[in-house]
Amino acid sequence: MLEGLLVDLVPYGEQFLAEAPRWWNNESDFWGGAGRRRFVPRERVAALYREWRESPRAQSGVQFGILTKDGKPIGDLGLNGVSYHNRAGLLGANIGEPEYWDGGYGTDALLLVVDYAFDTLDLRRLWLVTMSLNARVVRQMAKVGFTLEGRRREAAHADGAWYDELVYGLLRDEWPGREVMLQKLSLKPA
Amino acid sequence: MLEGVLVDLVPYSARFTALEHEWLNGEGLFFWAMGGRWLATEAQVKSMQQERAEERAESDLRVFFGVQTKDGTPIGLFGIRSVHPHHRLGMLTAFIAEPEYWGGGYGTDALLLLVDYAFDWLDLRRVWLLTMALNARVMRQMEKVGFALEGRPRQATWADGQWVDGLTYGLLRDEWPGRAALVEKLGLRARA
Repeated sequence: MLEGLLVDLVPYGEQFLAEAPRWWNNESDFWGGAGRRRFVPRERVAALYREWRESPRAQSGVQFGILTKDGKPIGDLGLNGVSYHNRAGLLGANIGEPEYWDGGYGTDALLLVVDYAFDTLDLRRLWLVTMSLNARVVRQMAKVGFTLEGRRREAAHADGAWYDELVYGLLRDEWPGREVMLQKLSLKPA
Repeated sequence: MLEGVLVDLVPYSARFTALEHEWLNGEGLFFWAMGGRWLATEAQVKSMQQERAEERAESDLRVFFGVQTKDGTPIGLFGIRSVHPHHRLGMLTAFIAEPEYWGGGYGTDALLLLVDYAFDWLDLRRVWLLTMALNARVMRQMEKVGFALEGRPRQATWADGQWVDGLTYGLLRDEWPGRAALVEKLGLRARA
């Protein structure tokens, strides 16, 4: 378990899969899935998840579930497509419960996984992709110190319009460490 | 078959897969795999081919072509993968494995065919690709063909003892004048 201030990261397991049918069909999937609005039947979710889990991209990395301090599952976070040769990994995250948006929960989880990737897995580069419509993630990236490295023009079709996808990267040399970031962002326990 | 000026794109068949072991251990791989030098055994190549077939059966939508010269010599592999029918985009992969066909317009001819195919046949509206900053040949080609540099993932690959940036290029259908216009503009001509 990776212990944060507002959340803990634990291995992604059954307690998260139980919530996944809701998370995959609510507003959070739109933000996590580049404008996607899926309609996934409850009984398909577990099978689809297992398929994804067996893909090379998922298997190379680490899949976490996000718990609040009182043990409530609120989302997931994955370090995927890890290349141990290039020492890089791709982050993907979803806070499935909208009432936990904007409260620092996602950021707390992000700081934990960055520290884990650099200090435990010895990676030296992390990156992620979001769509330009996602103002919440754009703000978060600036706060946490990721650099905008690319803009894939009109790569996402969301709610009837074309949006750019933004690619962010962070190198280990640029990372002051989780403690410093907690201080800087003045994250406090709930 | 997609017929170009210097090359044709044909189904990626056994004639091409038979050469993969040689190709994946050749100099072309370094550029195709962003600095990779794989030293792949025949067994590894077979198992990669197997995995590729299974992936194709799963979810990743892709079209692979073999590239051959006008006299039928197989020289490489071009394709579109990670095709996303909702976002109408695909990622290009391009590999001229035989170094004697570098710098002669063969890869560019194949690229023009592939882009036309992506826009006019698959009805995509965006194609993109990833290369590394060591690949000066592709960088020049991208500029000639009219792709825009859209991103630079910093120090994304370890190639021959140094960290090298990746480069991503994208092209939208609105920006594409069509293959015939580019063949003209680039002065591509059939070899005697």
